[in-house]
Amino acid sequence: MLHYNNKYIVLFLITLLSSSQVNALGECGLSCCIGGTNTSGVTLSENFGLSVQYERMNMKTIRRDSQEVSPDDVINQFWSSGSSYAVPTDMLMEKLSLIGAKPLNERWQILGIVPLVRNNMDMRRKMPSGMTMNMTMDEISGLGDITLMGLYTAYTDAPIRAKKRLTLGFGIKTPTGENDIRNPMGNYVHAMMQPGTGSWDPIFMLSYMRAWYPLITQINILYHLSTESDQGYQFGNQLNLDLIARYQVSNYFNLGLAVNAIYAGNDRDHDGLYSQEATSMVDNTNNTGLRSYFVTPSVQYKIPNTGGNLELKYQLPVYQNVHGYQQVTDSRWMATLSWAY
Amino acid sequence: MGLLRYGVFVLLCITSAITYAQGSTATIKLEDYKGRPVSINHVPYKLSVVHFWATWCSPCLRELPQLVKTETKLKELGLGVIYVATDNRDDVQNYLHEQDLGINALLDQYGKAMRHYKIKVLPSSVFINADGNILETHHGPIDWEGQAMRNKLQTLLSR
Repeated sequence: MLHYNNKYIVLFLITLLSSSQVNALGECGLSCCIGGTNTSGVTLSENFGLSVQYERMNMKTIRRDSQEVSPDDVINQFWSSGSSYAVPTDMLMEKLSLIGAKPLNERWQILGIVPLVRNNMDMRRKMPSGMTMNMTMDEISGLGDITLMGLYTAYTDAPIRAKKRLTLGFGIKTPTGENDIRNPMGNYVHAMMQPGTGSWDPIFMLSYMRAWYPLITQINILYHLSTESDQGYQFGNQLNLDLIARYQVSNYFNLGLAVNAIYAGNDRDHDGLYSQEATSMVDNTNNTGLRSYFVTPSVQYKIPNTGGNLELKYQLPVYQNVHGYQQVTDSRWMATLSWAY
Repeated sequence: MGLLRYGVFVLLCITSAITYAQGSTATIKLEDYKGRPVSINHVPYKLSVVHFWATWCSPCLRELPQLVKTETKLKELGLGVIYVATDNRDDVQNYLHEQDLGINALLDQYGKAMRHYKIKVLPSSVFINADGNILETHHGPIDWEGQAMRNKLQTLLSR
């Protein structure tokens, strides 16, 4: 299982790297306003860019390897008489983020991402008596992990409406979100439900864009190196590969389609604070790590005569292969409003 | 959190230093579409127009022949135009070959000149006097053969 922060950073960068072309395409009326487009390849604005992003992820399906299993199948597999066993039945993870982008010069840009998270989970528990109960966990919300990134345009053939561009990125995910929230019984809430990871994680990125206007294609590779948190938990490292195509339908609309591949390694709970293997499917690092493929259609709208644009994305899984038993993503929505100043 | 504050402080210092260094840059060195290096800060004209354009920008292409004609007419009075393309080399080369405008075009590959002159619209024209001072930046197309612009150029050239 991935921490929400990891998923979020990747999806945001995909948006950023693939969305900044819309303002510079095609016939542009009396004159071609390029405010809000990019000079370095990933710039949201000449001076400062701000985005507000809402993301909503639903997780219901449980898989063993790539096969779907029901919550009751998992309970019956692991419950033993005299003890209890819990599995998640429904998870809703939401995130509202403020993103600032500031170009430093024609090649460098810095980004800051400040997320607020809200996580909800329903569970089914089989009690020692053999009785099964459905329950809703307390909502977890708060500031997530702030990420700072530097993006460097290693090559571009033009400052705007480039046909070839190579961008490199390096970032740090900081441990600003809480990672030690406990439930009413005094135990740590599941690691992936915590607002933060508690670790300083480096992030590396490479992006190559090739355009045959009005068609733009892009490959992104992102590697998230997870480190051990102050509570001894270490999420699995994550590698993302994205193949993206965008097509300009009109001056103000882009349609996009992406294929996303995600590989995540197993988590490690060095101090055992989050692990309850005998009683919970979620609190078990054997049930972490996965390989997933998604398709992501998107639509982007440039708000006329402004530096603003709106993008909607819907991500659907096409193949998921998990280690052990895991609840997986069934769908993910994302809406982003960006403004260039 | 102490370490985080320190990290943010260091980042702000680096940002400020880079921004300051960028603001104090005096010379813009670009290449022309044939790969020859050119500096656009020191030009030997009484009045220079640094003109930003692109082959994908229709208003730019409508304006460009007019500007070339104007430059030809007023060259002897001291007008010089520096054509800065915010475009890739192949497209610029093909366009200039097809149109046979007889101009050289510089390539602003990484947007250095655009940032320096704060260009946010194409086409744009920056008027610079012989001392290298920016007199005016015009965002959007210009009717170069219109009476108003002709008068303006005459005035600037007669200073």
